Amino acid sequence: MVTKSQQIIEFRNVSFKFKDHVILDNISTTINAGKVTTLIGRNGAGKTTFLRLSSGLLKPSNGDVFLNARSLSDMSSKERALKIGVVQQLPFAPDEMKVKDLVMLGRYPHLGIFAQESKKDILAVEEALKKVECLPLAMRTIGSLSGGEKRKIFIARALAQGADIFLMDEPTANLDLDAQLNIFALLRKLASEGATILVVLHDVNQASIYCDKVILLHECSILAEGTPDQVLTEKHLSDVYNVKTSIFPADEKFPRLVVPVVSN
Amino acid sequence: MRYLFNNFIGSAYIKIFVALLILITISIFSLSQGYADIHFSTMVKILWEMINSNDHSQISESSKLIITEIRLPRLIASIIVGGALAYSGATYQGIFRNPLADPFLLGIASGASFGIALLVISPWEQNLYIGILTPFVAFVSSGITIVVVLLLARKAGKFDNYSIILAGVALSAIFSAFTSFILLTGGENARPIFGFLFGGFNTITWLKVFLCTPYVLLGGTVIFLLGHRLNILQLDDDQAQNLGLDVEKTRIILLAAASLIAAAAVSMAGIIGFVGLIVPHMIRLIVGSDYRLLLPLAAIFGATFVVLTDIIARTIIEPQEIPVGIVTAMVGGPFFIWLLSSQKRISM
Repeated sequence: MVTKSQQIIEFRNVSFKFKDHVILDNISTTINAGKVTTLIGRNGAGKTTFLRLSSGLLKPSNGDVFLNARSLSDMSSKERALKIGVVQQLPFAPDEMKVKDLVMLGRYPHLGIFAQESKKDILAVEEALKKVECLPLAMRTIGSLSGGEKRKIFIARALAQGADIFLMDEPTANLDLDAQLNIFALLRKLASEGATILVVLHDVNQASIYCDKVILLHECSILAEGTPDQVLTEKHLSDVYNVKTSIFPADEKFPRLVVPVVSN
Repeated sequence: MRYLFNNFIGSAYIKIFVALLILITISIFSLSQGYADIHFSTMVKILWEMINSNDHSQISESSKLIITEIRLPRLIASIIVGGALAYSGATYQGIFRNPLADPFLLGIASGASFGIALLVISPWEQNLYIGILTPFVAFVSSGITIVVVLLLARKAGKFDNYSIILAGVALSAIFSAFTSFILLTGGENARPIFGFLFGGFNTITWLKVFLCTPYVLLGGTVIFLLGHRLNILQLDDDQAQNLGLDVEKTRIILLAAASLIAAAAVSMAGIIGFVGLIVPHMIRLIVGSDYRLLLPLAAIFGATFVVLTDIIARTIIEPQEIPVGIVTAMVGGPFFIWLLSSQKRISM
């Protein structure tokens, strides 16, 4: 479960190349605890690569990624799994697998040699499912869940993992509006409990409304980072997306909104 | 405190216990079956005397010999071979996330028997040392086979379910052809190879059992210790790594262990196909796909299945005997066709 320990991810001069093709170039930034940080940028801007570097799944070609000042590449995959929970965009799980069994796989880094789950593990799974409000789904199969439910179950697995850091690739993609709101409410709740949250988003308004920090990736580097107000400006959005936008400042009725200007 | 979920271990022990009871019952029945008419009570007495090292009874020497030197080693071998084939089949299925994987269909059994055929016609004298070496040679040749299958089936760094099986079946055909060639041209020396092509237990001796079993135990222990990781391998590799699993290392170790026990099974009884396909699939239908339960149950029911098919093989056209491999192929072939046609409904 989320603890009070503050987990900070730091990128120091990180570059990543794939077959001589530069995907990220000299990135330096920090992802702080207790906040929801989002990565936005065009398709192919390197958002998913950034996420995979943050999880330790990829190693930087240059520079290094640190978790609380310790290089991720110095940590074993099990050590990383105890800290970092990842929810991919379209994670695969066998349709006939039961929800409780999938969430229990999150306990793998905690299990002993015979993988016998203790009452502590069962409780962790129950608690994780409760937190995402999916305990009644425990005995259902993955194949019988809706897209939103599935997404929540994978988040529950990251919770059961005992992670303090949650890395999520488009957690609300293809979800109904209510399911999207549920996921963001959950992310805000986790952040308020001290978790470090990094999400890839496409929707600039979701970034504006739900995130504390925005990292705008463009042409392999960070074009801007800071609060949504600082980053999601007409100029930046025009530079990245070649689209003219109007920004409506927040008032007591509506949050700050970014609206593209459609020219006829 | 009330827990929503049953503890996995408690209910698993009961299922494993019931499966063992079934295996023991069928095994005892198997000892009383055969051409020589030995009454059940006589058979029990012989076993009792054997355990107590006491031979003062009136039971004929020939009955004793039939039970202790023919039927008992045969039973033990069929238990070990059946268990090994289903255990390795379930492991391969987990490693490749492929419900069609089986030591026979992956070409591993044919690869192993080809290696054994080369050893049989080698200029070295066929003695105990060669006997000890046989499972090892089978392991090496099955290892080479699986590497070639994977190289052939690899497309853009990924393995397609059907490509693996196609490559396996193709290699299997090639190795079987070479093995048959050696059999037909190798003269009298090559005769034992016949037994490997059509697997069975009619040439089983205690010596063979003792020579091959350590390999099965070694590979089986590795799978016993690491098999639960197959549950995580059912997810995609990124997820498995994010959950703390060293995916490549786990795959290679389990692949080697599964190939070792499959090779040892082939060394003992030749090619007995489809056991590794049918048994894990049936178990999956009954208890689901948790490998912590699937693996031990596959081993126990694999053993039960082969003991049963061996009873059929030696009693159906008494006094003649047909190789067990033929019986399993008769059952397994149609099952494989059904599985192929229903692939859309099957996921791991």
